[in-house]
Amino acid sequence: MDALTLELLNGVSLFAILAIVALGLGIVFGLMGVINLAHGEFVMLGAYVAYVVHANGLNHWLSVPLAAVVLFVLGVVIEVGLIRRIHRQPELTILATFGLSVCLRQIAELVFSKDFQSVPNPVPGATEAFGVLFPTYRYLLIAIVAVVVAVTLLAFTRSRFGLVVRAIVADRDLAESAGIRTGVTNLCAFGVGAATAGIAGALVAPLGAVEPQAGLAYLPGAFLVVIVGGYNRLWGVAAGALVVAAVQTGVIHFYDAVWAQIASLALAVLVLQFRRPTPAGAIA
Amino acid sequence: MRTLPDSRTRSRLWLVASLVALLALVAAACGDDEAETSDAPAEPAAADTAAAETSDSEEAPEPETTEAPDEPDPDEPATTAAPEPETTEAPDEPEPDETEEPAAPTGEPVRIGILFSNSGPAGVFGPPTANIAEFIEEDINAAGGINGRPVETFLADDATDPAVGRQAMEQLIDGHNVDVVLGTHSSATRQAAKPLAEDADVLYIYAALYEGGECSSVMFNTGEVPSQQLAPVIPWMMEQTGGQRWFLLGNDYVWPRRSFELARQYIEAAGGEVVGEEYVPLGTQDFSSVAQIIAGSGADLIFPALVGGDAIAFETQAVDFGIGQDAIPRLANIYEENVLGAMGPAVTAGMRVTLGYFKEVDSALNNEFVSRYFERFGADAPPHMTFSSHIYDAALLYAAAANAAGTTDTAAVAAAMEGLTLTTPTGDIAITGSRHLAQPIYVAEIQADGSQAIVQSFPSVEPDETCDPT
Repeated sequence: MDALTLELLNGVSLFAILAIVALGLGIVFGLMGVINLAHGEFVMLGAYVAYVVHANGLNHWLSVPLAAVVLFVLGVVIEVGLIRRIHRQPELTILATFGLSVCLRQIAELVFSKDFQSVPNPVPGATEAFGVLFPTYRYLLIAIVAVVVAVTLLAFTRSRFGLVVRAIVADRDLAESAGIRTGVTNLCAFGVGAATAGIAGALVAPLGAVEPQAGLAYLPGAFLVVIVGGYNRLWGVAAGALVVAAVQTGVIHFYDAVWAQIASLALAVLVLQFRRPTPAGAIA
Repeated sequence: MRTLPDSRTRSRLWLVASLVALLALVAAACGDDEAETSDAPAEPAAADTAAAETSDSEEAPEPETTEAPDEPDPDEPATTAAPEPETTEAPDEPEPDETEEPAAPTGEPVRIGILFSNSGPAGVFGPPTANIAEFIEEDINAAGGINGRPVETFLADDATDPAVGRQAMEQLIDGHNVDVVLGTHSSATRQAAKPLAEDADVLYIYAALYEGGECSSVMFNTGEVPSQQLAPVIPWMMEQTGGQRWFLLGNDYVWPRRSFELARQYIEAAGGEVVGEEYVPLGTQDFSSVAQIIAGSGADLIFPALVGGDAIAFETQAVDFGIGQDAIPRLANIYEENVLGAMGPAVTAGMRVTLGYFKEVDSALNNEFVSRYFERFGADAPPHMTFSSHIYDAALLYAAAANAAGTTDTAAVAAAMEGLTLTTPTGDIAITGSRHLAQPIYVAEIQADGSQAIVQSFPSVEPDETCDPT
């Protein structure tokens, strides 16, 4: 029973990590049709924000909003300077964002060196709940991710901004001819996508290494979630993260970690086989 | 109507063709220039070195290339490490502290290529090796060079990518015309680059710790193999901690798998038991489920063969899951200073690491070497460690063998390598009949302040390897 509870909590924490890492990718892909291969680097830069906050002796939790702001600004700059010019051609966005990811990695290397850095856990140790001990930091991470994901989903579904976004996703040209300024919406979407990646980076920083290459490890997982969950509806990211986390945790528990990765990749293949063609508006 | 697009296509084709031709010209000019420089017998090696090293790291500012200054060199692999200004020091200047002054080396330099990872996931190990390249030139030249000729080093980065590694090897062999290649990089790069060395009959000394089993007529493998790191240390570890029940956790590739295969034998021979063996894909970030498995396994010792960020993620998360070093002692075979530093002393204190070199090795030779290293490159220089130390040793082994053979001919030097013994900052080392290296193995324990202290050393540990390339 205890083992099951723990595994359930592991699954939920993995779900939270996957969801927050993939959220921005889903937003940018779903809304703009931009396949952002630099998304992992946004996460990496978010982790470096946490590192800088730690190196200056400030509270770790400060790094979460700070990473959001820094990455939002960076996202806006990148949208204006790069994405805006090419976002209607998915194959160009793949090449451009791949180049961008290489640049961001090398810049991080120049600024912070290749060395592994780390951010100490602000709340070390475990908390007893549900009859088991589970790391305190992971409880907090789950809570923060829940809030961020909920706020983002609400903003994209319940607000006027969300209405505009959905109009664009449904038919960009029609939305434009109806007087919607898609450029501004794109700018916001890319900025928000980058900001959530920054939050993800700041949140995962105490769980692993902060290094220029760190983003490479996050990108495949994020894509997996977006593929499994679908990208034309934002809650698909949450659903995808849930399925991938369940598969990963389950297979590791009953078999091993290598098969868990194979299983989640097979899942993506399976999902793509049975997915109905996406509405043209999502990509075109 | 048709002529317009046709002529456009044609002019584009011409543009591309002429660009390619221009690039080829530049490449040829560079190659020629190098050959000429090294052919000049009285050319002081220092000037040549400086020029060659500059072309290694940045766009070549050689006179021949001035007609196309913005053209990127197509042969250039991803390069980073800046050349050290000290390499311009003339090699025919005898070291003042040398008691017996050997004749200053003159003539065409012996070219030593160093294939290493300076970018990509293993790039963190690159900077100390780039620093050591400077010492290799200095020290071999100060000792009289190789057969009276000075040595010159050429660095090539594999970007932790076998395909790039193959190109880098090609550049060393065909571009820089090296006499020997010293390698510290992944086994994947070795497999990709080895055929080039074999085809060109260039001696290739692979100096990184690896899974063992390599055997080729042009190769020597001087890094630690698992049998060396583990055979003496596993029984010692069980004796020290009283632990019997091991959990083996590794990244899923050949080196951890081979290490665990051998570890299992040594553990069982020492009366212990393997209670769990798990592999995780490279780049794993979440270890919560794995931590669960370890916690439930009843293990009282963990042997983690995890690399880089995976190691850091596992160890930092393990503490919160109650399976940190305090609860279950670790014996690691790759945790090095960078990784340990990022984990922090709260996580690492008490961990034991088995490797063929630590900068803390207490010998007069090593103490002098290490203090010279930090004096030269600064107190916060990337620490000299087992990879850079083995590259240094490989260069000294090559120099000694080539001097004994009286030539740089590959077969003759290879013959002279076998049975060669040396004393280096690492300790007493000897090339074995299996073309590996009998070498000391050290166990370091991480102290409360995060520093490493050597708590046990095993001199001249023989590798359990067989090789007969002929």
